[in-house]
Amino acid sequence: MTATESAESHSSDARETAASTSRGNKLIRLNEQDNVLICCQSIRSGEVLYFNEIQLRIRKPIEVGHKIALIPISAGQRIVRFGVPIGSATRAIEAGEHVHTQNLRGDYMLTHNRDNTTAESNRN
Amino acid sequence: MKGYLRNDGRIGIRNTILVAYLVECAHHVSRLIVDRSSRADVHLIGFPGCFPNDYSLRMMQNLCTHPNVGAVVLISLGCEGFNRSVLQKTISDSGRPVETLVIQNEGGTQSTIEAGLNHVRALLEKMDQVPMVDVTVSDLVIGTICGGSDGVSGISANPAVGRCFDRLIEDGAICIFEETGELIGCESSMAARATTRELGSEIEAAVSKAALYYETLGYGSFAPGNAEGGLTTLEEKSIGAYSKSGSSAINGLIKPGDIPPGKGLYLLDIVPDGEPQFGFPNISDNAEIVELIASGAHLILFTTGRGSVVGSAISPVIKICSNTQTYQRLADDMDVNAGSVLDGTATIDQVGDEIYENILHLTNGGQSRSEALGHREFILTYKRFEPIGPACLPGR
Repeated sequence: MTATESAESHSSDARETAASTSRGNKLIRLNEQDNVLICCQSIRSGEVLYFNEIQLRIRKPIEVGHKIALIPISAGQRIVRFGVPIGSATRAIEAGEHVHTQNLRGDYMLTHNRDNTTAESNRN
Repeated sequence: MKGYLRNDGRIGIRNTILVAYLVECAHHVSRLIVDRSSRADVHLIGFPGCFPNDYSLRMMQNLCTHPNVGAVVLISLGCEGFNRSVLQKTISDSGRPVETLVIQNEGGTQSTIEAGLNHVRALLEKMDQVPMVDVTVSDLVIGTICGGSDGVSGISANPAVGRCFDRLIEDGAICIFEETGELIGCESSMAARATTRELGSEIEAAVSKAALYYETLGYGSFAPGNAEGGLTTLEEKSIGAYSKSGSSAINGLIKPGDIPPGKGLYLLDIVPDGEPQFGFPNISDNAEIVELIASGAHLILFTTGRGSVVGSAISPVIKICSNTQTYQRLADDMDVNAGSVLDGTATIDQVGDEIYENILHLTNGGQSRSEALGHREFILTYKRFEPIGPACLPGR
């Protein structure tokens, strides 16, 4: 979908918001306090999506289940999903940016990827 | 719906023979007995360790007397530490036929396999005599687990299971959710749902124990695939996993092998007590499934986003997929597509109802996908637990 096409689909994306999931929505907000949206259908790089009146330029492909920032988030600020904090931003995040392990860290235990082969490397 | 009435009064939805090895050294012989029986209702379980362990003995006692199990063949090498006579007595006292073969006494691999197959044949004839009785939802114990969760599991599949749980509990069933290590961050919400303040405190303590345990081991209960599916932090995964529990009051906190005393919702505390000593609480999803079954689960509701394919020995597993992409990619393995919630073609309530219908179908003798594909995974390792405290089951 090009930016123009997504602008045309602006009305449906813009008006079908909030926790209810309606046909064709690419992004949903689970709670009014959330500062991230959840991707429900794959989004391509370069797409421009609207959520309410907020324009979001998507700069990299986003897969289903991943999060993007709804508003600019500063370093150290809590990321809120389901209306509850799920961790803190490790650096400033722009609206529309992918929110994941590169800029979000849990406030409890750290998560790990396949590069951390030992519990010791996971602690670093 | 009809079920199998056991001599101990419990009712099963399957009529399974177990072949159980009591040490890894008896595994191959046991597997060949199961394979050569060529029967879908002969399942393999076992414990690999040679050192004795109270938890594993108790688990094997509960699994071998599970309502879905009608008879057992125990396979011992002969010198292992497992207390086979206690296990045999427990099974026998439950009114189930049981046979024990000791490989060192039988004359080795070949003769034990032959003797085992003869026992299985004889037991199958006895199993045909098990009386059938009416079964309702109020006779069922249903467990739930998530595996390979993704960023939409907590929006689609997990809340749909929660809705199904609420309905099952209304209809008098027992429902069990689990993995306190995947509920870190949800402790105060769970405590508020507990039927007593003291139970709430026990639940909070169980989650603290889990956090400390995983912290000590250096890894939270979070797999690389969770991150690939969009989950970033443990607390994010927790909140999503928690929605499997629905909205009913929490009636009790149990440990593996504790059978809930009455209807309602129970949290299974799977994290061992005391200092970490045997490694990770449950090394893979099937270890959790086995614990749910040891606590009486007739059926397991398994939500997945990345796409798990496992089933289990003893109790069938229903797969509820969180997103349509994975559902289509692994179509043969999935029972329910909760991705329809995201696609806008179904509501959470509708998917919850579909799961409920699947439970009735399986209780009625229908097969889940993993069951039909022959998945009978089983794993049991070492653990240590203290008995639950009196505040954990306020209704008893």
